[in-house]
Amino acid sequence: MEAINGEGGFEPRIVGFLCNWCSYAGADLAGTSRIEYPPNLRAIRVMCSSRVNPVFVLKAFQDGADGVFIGGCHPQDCHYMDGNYYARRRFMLLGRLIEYMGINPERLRVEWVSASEGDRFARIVREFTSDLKMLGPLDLKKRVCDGI
Amino acid sequence: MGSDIEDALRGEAEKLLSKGDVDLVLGYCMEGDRVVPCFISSAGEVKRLVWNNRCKNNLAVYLRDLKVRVAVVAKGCDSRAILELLKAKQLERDDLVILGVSCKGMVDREGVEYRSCGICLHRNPVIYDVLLGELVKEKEVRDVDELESLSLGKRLEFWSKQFNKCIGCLACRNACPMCFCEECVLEKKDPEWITRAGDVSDIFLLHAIKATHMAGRCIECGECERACPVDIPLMHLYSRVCRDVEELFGVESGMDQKDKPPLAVFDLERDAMWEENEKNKKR
Repeated sequence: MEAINGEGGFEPRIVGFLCNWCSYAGADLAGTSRIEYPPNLRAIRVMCSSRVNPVFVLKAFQDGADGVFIGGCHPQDCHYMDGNYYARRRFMLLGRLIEYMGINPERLRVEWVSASEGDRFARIVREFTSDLKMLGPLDLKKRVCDGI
Repeated sequence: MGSDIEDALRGEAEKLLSKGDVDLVLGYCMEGDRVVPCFISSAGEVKRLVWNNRCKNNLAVYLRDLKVRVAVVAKGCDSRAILELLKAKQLERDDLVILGVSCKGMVDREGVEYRSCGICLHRNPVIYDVLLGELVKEKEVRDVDELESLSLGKRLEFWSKQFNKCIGCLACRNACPMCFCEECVLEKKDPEWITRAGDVSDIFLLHAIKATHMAGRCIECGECERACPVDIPLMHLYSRVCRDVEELFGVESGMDQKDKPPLAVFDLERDAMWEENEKNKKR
């Protein structure tokens, strides 16, 4: 991924894993309703939030993502009945693990966004982007390789 | 470590082998001045078996490959590994005779106690058919991990320096009794998640992935740390994951046969509460 450094300085790179049935449709609604939100999030459509392996998240951080967003259906709304429950447990744990290894857990954000919440999706992306701007670049690869 | 445990062990092994109840006894024997795991297949050989404070190896790692009836010497950590493997349906309970022994903490060749034994809370075997010797008193309070007090930046620096030493030999995985996947994500070539000829960040990824896989599995025997040729304190990482699993999901691995794998089940109310907690903590 190429850095999108505008004139305003640091622009965080966010990888977003969006579930096909809720969050992706929510993002789509935000688009079709012309709600503006920062272009920092690159959406990857997955069939379910529980499709997201923690490896994907870690790999994204290694490959230069400053934040990873995982969007799933609201609890009790999962298209596959209970996929998001597994995802919830998994990413609570991963958040704590990356914190222990020295990555700010705020860089991993898990949210439940329904297909009708286009405005909420846009708000979350705005929030997440500004949070990441405050945190600054992660630059995991360089920091780990340099040992700093 | 009394020699009466050793005598009881030899007696039990001889009885089992001569009666034909088991085909193999898995225990420890002396090899020069080192204690190594050994496989005893006839009653005449039981004199080789030893029990002392250097029987550090986790014998559960061998059990999956043995397709015969085995009697296995099990300390606290071995028995917990066996229990986890039984839960994962990797072993047949009927093919096992577990000779439980209480452990007083193992020491290395210089006589220094291993760190994993120092922090161990479960020295008595959790599951056994025969108990050799007596149960010992266990520590009740867990030591605080000194890494917790470091700032995020310092932690990343610490792990980067540690992983810089890593040669990617995967000895930590091979020695682990809970790593039993036929196909390991760490070695997969398509897709190649971890570039084997990569840099330290690939090693960082490797250990992070391994830690996620240890969630709800790791029984904190410390074999990974002992197997590591470059002394990376891996147990810090896995212990942290164990504590998180305990706190978030209320399960300690290897303690109860009835527990379900924590990442394969869910508890709506509890998880919702913890999700809220975690969010508030970050703010």
